[in-house]
Amino acid sequence: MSALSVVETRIFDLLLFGYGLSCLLYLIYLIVPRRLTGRAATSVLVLCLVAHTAVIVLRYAEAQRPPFQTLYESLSWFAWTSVLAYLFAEWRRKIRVTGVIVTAVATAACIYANTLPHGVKPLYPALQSVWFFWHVSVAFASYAIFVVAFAVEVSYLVAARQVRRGRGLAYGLDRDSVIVFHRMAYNLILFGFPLLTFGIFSGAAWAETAWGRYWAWDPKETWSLITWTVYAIYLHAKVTPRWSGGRASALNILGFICMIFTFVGVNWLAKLLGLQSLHLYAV
Amino acid sequence: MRQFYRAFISTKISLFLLALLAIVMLVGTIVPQLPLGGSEEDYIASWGFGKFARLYAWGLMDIFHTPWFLFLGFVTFLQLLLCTIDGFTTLRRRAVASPDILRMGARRVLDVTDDSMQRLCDFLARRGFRTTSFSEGGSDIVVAQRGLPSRLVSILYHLALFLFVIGFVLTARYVQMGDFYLYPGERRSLPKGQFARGTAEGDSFELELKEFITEQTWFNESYFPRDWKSSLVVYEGGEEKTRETIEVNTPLRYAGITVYQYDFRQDFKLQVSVDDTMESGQGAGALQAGATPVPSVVSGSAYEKFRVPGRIEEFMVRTIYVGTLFDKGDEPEPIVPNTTLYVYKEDAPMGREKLGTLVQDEPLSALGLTFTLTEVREASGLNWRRDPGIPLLWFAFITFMLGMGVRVFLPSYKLTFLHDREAKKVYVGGKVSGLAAYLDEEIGRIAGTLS
Repeated sequence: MSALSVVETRIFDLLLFGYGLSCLLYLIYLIVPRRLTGRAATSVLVLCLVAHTAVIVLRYAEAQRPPFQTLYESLSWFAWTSVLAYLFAEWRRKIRVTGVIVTAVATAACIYANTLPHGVKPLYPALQSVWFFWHVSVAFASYAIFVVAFAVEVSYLVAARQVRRGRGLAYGLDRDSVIVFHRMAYNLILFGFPLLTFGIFSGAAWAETAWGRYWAWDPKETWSLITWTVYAIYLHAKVTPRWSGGRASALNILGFICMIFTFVGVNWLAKLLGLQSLHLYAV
Repeated sequence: MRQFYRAFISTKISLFLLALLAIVMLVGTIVPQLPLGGSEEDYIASWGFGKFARLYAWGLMDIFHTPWFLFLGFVTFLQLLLCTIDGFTTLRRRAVASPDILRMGARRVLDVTDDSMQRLCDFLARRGFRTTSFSEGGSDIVVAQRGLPSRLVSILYHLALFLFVIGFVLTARYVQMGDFYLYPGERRSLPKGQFARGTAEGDSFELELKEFITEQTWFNESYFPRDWKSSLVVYEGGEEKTRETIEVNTPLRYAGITVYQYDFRQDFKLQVSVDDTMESGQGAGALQAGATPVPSVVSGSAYEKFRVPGRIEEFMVRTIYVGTLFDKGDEPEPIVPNTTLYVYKEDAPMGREKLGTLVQDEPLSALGLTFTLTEVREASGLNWRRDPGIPLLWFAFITFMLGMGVRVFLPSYKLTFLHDREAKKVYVGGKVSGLAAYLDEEIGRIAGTLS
């Protein structure tokens, strides 16, 4: 194990603790909404992001390639992009109440990554392409945005329920301020959807260059299309009066589940059912 | 009929069709698909004939090519087409609601003076709005637009989806492909692409493999594949046209045909003799009665079972490491061909047992025999493809991304102002699209001007 690997592993272990602590602080903030607790949660998360950036840079230096080949690296990258997207959204839109969900997702991704082999692998010949960077980074950018959209949507559902029960004032929420969450989730998905489209098409273009066919109904490809379809349904639902409320929220949550399944679930499914897949590099 | 048409092109039907497609795709990832790998015999062996027959009969093992999936795709395609056409017709109409509806849907009501409407139009022009004014029911209506109309942009990317489907159909209907292996020095004739410039039906060119290059990386004390390259020369009418080295992500594109590096084959020759160092009879137990005894030369291919004359066992060698090795020393170094030799045994894990590492020209003793790897020959596995759907798919993709990009990132405003002359009020309404569009802020600015 190289010196870089040792440093990286130690920082990653600390990250687990950091993300967990941040999640806890966001949870406390949700229960007792004091500004100090919220600021502490954000500060810890910013520190975690800085440390995680260091992990990514070290990995890049060690592997001499973008750090998202193995499942360990992909999960780490996923957590990093999700936190980055969330902190940007929190800075722009003051959505601190959604932090607990994003940090829970990031913590879960890091815990799962920690159970996997950390070793650096060279790139397989099929992955040695300019598409490797663009396909994976853009797809993960869309995933990160969908994580934040999911968190905002769940917050909306919970907050709307509290407002309906007359408990919204304790959090400074009324009907109008709650609906902002729902609109923001829509805007986030509107932003993430073209990125997901680019991710899928760049994957198809890459497959055409590497294997000679752009689409083979491989489980990973099919699940990415399922995710795309669910988000397309969501976007259509938002312009249909009867569907733009609770049903759209449900579709957003379903889209998130499909996205997570595309990312990690397909690998389990392929193993469980003995399915053939050309996308099992990231295991 | 008209009612049916309106219902068919509704968003609800779009939602329903998309949901149905998603469900079918989901089924296609749970049930193994035969075209992706695995044979019918394998599935019958693991599931039993009854389950296999049921899944097979419903087409679930090749779900994406069943008539009912194609029908579903066709209905979705038709709906998309009709929605796009309907979008065009809606765009041509003047889409302004009646004065009453404008009053009811107003986001803000402003008190104005007689010259306010002129000031409003001047202000809107300064803000980059295109304005149209007309009178209806005793009221003045001003429609102001800035940015590309969102409906037009929406039509654009729905049209791109429509082109995607046509691209898929072109691929499915007209794609031509094939695969073959070439040893260095061998040639193969390929048909030219139908749409290539100056190509007539039946034209072809020849492809020659000059060299097949294998590269390995030294990783975790073993070999890790680094690259496979084929150095190819294209001939037409016996004349050399071009030469290129292709690898996994760098195919050769020539005359409408794309040639891909997709596989390799490794052949070997083994010299097998009786191991003199062993005591007499030790290795003779498995000799077939009446068989030709060793020594002999055996030919085979990696991962294929082979037999040694005079023996009943079956043997196999895995990947033969050849070519150039990187990242072990300071300089890349040639690899002495080597591989692992296995013998098939029923009681061994995975049905085979490792006998040892075979290194070229170095004898390996096992089972009373001496194996010497004497020759290794590699063939490049190439496949070729002519896909007329690809250019259209690229065009559709660029159109879709441009349309989505404009729709999502660029602001588009459509504001309506209803001036009630008697009441001296202006009812301001409108809608925006794009993440950078701020309706309330824009209306606020306008209100400031009018007040």
